[in-house]
Amino acid sequence: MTSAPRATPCLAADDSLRIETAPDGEERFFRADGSVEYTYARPFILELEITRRCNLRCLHCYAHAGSESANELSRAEIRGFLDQARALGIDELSLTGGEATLHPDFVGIIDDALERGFHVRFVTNGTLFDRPLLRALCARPIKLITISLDGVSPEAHERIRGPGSHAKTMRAIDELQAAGFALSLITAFSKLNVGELDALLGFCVSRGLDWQVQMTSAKGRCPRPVTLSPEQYYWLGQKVAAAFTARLPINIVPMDDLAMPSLYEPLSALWGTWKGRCVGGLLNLFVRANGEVTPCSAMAFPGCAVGNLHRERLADICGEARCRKLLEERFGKLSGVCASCPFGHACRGGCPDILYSMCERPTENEYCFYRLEQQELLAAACPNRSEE
Amino acid sequence: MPTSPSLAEAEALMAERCFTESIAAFELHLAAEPQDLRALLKLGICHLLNRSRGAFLDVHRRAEQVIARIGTLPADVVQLYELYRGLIVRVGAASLVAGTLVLNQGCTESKLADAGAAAAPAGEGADAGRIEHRPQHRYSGGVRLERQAPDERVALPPAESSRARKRYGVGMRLKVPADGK
Repeated sequence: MTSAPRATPCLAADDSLRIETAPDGEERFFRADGSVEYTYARPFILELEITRRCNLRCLHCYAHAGSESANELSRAEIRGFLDQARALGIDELSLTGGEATLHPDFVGIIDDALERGFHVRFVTNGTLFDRPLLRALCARPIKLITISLDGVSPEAHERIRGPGSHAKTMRAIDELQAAGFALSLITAFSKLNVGELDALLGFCVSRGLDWQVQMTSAKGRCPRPVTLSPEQYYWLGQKVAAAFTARLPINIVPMDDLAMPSLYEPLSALWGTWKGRCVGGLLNLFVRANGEVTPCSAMAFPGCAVGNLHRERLADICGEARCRKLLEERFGKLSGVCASCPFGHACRGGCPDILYSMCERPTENEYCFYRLEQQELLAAACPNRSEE
Repeated sequence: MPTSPSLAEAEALMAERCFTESIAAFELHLAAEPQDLRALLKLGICHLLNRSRGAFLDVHRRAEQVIARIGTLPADVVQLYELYRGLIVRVGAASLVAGTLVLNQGCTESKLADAGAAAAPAGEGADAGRIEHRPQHRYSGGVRLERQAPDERVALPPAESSRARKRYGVGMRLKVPADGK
């Protein structure tokens, strides 16, 4: 009889950071102990899409993952790239896909990263965990495994991810948690699963799992009609904010698309998580399976690549702060309601993904919480004058 | 209906979202007509929309003084006043002004307390303690950060914050069907 495998603990420090505001008003980001400053030349974490292959065809997939993309990075190329990243001082690595575990060298890539001193985490749909993979992972100190779960009910989850996926994902959650891995869940909300919000929160709390929450945006495979309307998004924000501010025994992790200004409790708590600007390229840097570098995994739309590792060195891409330039050039200007908004100088339009994927113009955020509140308030206070 | 050029201008500027200019025009009008409760309440709403929560609450205090002076709430202002009172709850400042709200018709301290209790999650008392955000927010692509210096114009003072944040769903007006469709 063989005993159940146990995860090797990862002794890396947690991810706590410190933000300071410089005299010029710029936010600066440091490791919690102050020993490292994160900059565009030395981002906090590298997110590496090791393959576009995926066994599922999720309706909302931003990456349009499925079959292998042309010119995917080989393991040897990934090794060289990891060396470059370490030379910049980066020591946090997140492996994504497609489905990362589908990469034929998945465990080998983890070994390459660990040998170089990276703290490794990865995102998975959880449907491909078999005994050998579980044993292999148990033998390695993995910092965090994040599993995509879009519904507690099989119907909601499989409406998005396809038949048969729910049971496999739930089994992976059971097995990974039983083995003692640091585990969290991630949910992207659309009209297809927003009704699952309370059930998902309850599940996370009952299982002691941290929960990363975001909105599905209209890019990749995701059709616009299934995405949330601004009003539904406001409702989602209120629910997430209520959980975020409640004294729950888990961490609720709202992503930056939810960090919008609001006048009201509890929504204004999410505004408190906004870091003064999009931190794509500064805290996280994303590398696609074809070598393209973008500020963030969510920026999966044309014209957002700042370089390609098949042709350029990471030190050049980071050293020239290309991500910052891209964000400032494409998203730095505001128009319409946002141009005169009292929050505008602080939010800068909010998450570029929402601006680009969900709004008519990338200079005016129709999903802003404050914008909806302002509209509602002006209509009530000036019923004969309010516009829009 | 506007009764002075500055009031008409103030209301127009407010509708155009020029809140700073609108505030100045409202103040000009109020200097001439300090008892104009409607203008006063709209001034407060402008302050709120302009991210000046403190000024919004100050205006409420001014409005209370006017109401105390005139003895009753004019019928044509009731709706606006109700809106204002609702805003005080929604911004999480009810505890700061509860003492003055009891002076007015249809609004008592107990009603406010009921509103808070109805919005609170089951099992949480009125003073359930302060909120703690644990530092180690890990997620798939990096970290979550707590801002060390939240915006002073919108942040709540700590004690009030604790009370407000434990509420579960204050201001949830917008609904989607359970199936999300």
